Amino acid sequence: MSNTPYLSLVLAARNDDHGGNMLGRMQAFVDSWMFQAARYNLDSEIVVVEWNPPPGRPRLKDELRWPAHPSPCDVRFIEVPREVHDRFEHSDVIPLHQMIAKNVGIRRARGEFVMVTNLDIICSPALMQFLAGRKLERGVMYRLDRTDIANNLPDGGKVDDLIEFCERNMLRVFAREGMLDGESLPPEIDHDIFAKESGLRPGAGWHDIEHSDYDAYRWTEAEAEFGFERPRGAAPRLVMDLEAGPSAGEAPVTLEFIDPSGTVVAASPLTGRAVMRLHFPPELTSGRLVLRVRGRGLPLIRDPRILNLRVLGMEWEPAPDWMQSAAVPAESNGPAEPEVRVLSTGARQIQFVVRPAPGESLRKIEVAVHDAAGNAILQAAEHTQSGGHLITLNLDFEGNDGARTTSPWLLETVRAMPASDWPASYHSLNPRAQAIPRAAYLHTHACGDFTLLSRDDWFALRAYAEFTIWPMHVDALFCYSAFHAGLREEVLRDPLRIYHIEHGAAAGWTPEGEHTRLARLQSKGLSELQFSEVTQWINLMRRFNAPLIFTLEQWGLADLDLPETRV
Amino acid sequence: MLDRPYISVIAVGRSNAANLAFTTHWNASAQQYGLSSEVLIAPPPGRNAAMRQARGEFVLCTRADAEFSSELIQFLATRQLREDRLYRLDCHMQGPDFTALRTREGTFRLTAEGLRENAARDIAPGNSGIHFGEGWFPPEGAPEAFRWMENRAEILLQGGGAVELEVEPGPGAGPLAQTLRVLDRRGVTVAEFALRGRAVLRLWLPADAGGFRLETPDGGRALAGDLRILNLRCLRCERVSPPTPAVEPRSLESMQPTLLRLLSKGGWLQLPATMSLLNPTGSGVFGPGIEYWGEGWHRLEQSGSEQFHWVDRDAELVVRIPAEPQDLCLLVEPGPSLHGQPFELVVRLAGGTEIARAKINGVTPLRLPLPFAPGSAARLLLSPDRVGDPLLPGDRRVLNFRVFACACRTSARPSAEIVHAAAWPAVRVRETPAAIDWVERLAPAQAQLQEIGKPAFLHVNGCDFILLSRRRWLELRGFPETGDLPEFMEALLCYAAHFAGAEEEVLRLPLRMTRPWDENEPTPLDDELIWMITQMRRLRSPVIVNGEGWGRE
Repeated sequence: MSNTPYLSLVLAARNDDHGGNMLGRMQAFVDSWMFQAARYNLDSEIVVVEWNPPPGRPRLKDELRWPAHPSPCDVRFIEVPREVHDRFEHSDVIPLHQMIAKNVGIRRARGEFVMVTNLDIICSPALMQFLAGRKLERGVMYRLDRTDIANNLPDGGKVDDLIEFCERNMLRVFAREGMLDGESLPPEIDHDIFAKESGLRPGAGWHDIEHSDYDAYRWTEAEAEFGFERPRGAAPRLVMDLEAGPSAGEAPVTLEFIDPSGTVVAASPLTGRAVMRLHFPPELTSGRLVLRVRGRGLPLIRDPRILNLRVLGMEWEPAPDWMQSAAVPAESNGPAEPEVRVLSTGARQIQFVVRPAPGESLRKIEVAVHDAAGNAILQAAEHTQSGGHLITLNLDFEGNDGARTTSPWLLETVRAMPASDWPASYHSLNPRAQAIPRAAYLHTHACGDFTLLSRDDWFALRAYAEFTIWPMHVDALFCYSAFHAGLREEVLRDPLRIYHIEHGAAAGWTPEGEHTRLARLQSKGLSELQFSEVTQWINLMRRFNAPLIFTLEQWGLADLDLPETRV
Repeated sequence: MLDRPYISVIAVGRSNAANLAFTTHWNASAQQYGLSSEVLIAPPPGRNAAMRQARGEFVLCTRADAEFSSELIQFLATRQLREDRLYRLDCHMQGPDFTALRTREGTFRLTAEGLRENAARDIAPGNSGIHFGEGWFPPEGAPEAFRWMENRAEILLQGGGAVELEVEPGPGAGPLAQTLRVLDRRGVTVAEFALRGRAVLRLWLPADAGGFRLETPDGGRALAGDLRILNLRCLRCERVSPPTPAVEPRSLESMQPTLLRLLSKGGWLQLPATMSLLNPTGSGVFGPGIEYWGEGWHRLEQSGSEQFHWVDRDAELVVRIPAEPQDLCLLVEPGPSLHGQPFELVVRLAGGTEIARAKINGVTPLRLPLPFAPGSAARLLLSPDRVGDPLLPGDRRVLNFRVFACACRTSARPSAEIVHAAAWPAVRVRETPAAIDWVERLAPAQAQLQEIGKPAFLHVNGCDFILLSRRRWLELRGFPETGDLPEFMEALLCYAAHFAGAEEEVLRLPLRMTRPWDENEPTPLDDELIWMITQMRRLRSPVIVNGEGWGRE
């Protein structure tokens, strides 16, 4: 430990058993951090702001167990007494002004970098190693998905057991684009754009399913990953219902499919809405692809997301039954069963099967090929008396330099469809969109559990807004301020994780507890920032291309000399 | 000059000549009055850079084409500026042949006397001599023009007499009924109304009043889409001439029924007085000197050749005393609710002070000296000393007495005691339901409006004079540095300063700033910025738009 540690952790708490088994969860946090800080030699300090300690209850420091072994982590408790708490509006119904408390800690943090978190967070070993690697940069706002875990933590106090428990008991993940299941995948739901038995599974980059009057759809991030496992009987072609989103403006978006090696295997522009078909190499039956969309990225007025593309459906093209015999390649192009089926439209070969209807026979096959001017350049005719025929036309293309390569991948537009009237919809563009120089959809989900910046950056931004309403979304507001002050968002990826120990409803945000939480606020006469209001603040930052700062020079109760205790 | 001047002046200028003239003039004035100051000339985008260089304890941001009154320089030299204030100033703009004033409420051309001119479509005609001062927004609305007023608003006019106002509570007033208070120019409350809807109010001003001020003590509530405080709208404000009753000498025959009842009670001696009262009443009962009769009087009735008003109690009258003392002359008769029995008629001032009492026995002529100073007016209430019940079949009214004639006449025996009523006569001529139910209209935003409470509406109409402590400027990181219009950013700065703890103080004449006329009015704030300021009000928090590197680019 040093006087200027590399990293300060700041959290706010009071010994009121908030959320149930609070001390147990906090003990897990303390144990895991201090043990791993020692293991990976991470020079750090934990700054606990003990806000408005409940009278008659021990201080947190005295309730928790502290490791006997030396640690490169200092632990400081800064107390905000009740008299100070009582100065704030709503002090009678909000016992802990969380964001102000965190500001108290940030203001007094000594680390070169400051990570603001909560008392029930456990960092994965990979994250601890990353932090210990001292690769953090100024001018970057580090964010992370939050992984919720079950709260029946193992007894015994061994941190390795705790980490293993975390890895095996993941309930859900809060990612930028929404809530994922314990495997970091969008939860399987009925009536999704991916049919359950389709062999298609969305990965990262898909927003939660949404519904209009007629459609279900998912918006994509700039990159949306999906896994595929082509069922037997499906043609190696994926049929997709896609639409360029409002963020594309009037311009087309470019779609690219990228294989795991990073190669763009197929690409095509898309204007409006269309049914598109992606041809796979016939031998490729499973794997993963990334759908990348390149659009103008224009911001909207009611939604902070950048919506360049939505996917309304994605399914394999089925092969008809009669083609699934061993004699015929298991391929097909059409959803119905015509008498002539095009099997392949590869760059060098066109195949199609002709099969007479029952009771009929094929007497003659004639082939005629005309050039673009209509001149017959090839004519052939053969009599035949047999049944089905596979007709193959081999084409030999030659580039000017003779070096053109061919690909089994192809992305083609099958049918253009009427586009949505975005300006008239909820997803209309921000009227100033064309003049907004910089807009991004940040990862603000559960950002109160992990936001890491250099101490200088926290100070330049004067930390969180110190509103005395319920602090919902205040942390997200800060993230956008940081971004519009010029900081770059970097979302740390697996296996860098934070695990959040599940707690009782109405303590923090959980999907299950939301109803209870709102009822509690209403009963106390408290308000909070609505999502629509956060969007308006974001719109203003985008308009100004500047941060919005809600605090003054004395943020974090800088003018107060608060009692501090060290462990 | 001291190492650290008291005040730094950042003047935005485009012309070298103007910049030089400003600097020369300011420095000369500062030297004359002992004001320690420095002048920094900056191009419009360079204000923040200059702010960072400023060394003064206070920093004034203004224009290089502005001139300041010597009183302003003297005021600054007294070093009375406060750290917790945001100082602003109305701006006088000098046109080729007129002066206009940019105030918190709007921009107004001024009369030669320095009063705000009425607009072509206004709530008072331009030639009425009525002017709307501080607290009144410019007229708006079509086809019916109206003006909104804030928490207090001033009406200026010369001479006394009756003035009628048609008003309606606005969204700032809150649930009805709302109090509207009238104060004289010394700040003394002279009348008060409880408004429940659109009301026509009439006030009688003393000759030396010079005007009055309206206040809505429980007003000041916020709106969601408008930063102004709109407590009350006034649709009409005009002088009202005293009524001129038609004087038609009545025939003896038409007076006969009344006179016969007088005589039947032995009232021979009162016959001349009674005839004198009845003779000129013409088509009604009210004669000269009665400027108004309102509540408490039942409708004019006619029975045979007799005309009269029945009264229950508190029959309202406004009388005006010309140069000579006056008597209130009445012809009264007990009514069926009192079984026609004698009673005492009590004349009180609206505030309750009894000024006369007389016995009524049958048809009775009265002549009651009015103890008021010449030139004044008074609101009187006539009541019986006791009250009966409705007694006529099919008529639910209480008919305590009836009045056949009511007028003022020059007094032969003036009252020795002069009653000085603090209150001005004030009546509600009529009231109808409000055109807009604001409580209902604002219901969707009610929760948030309640959080906001009663905010301040700042003077952001042309911010050519913003004076804050240097510490405050630095804390607020100067003017927002965005590509938006300067007036937008100045308004945001002012509101941020306010919510950072700097209370707005608009300096008043003779502290004065003058600049050349600019026909381009500041662009009104757009909806996004209004929302932003509304949220500052709700969250009681400043919003600072600049990062740490402000003023460096």
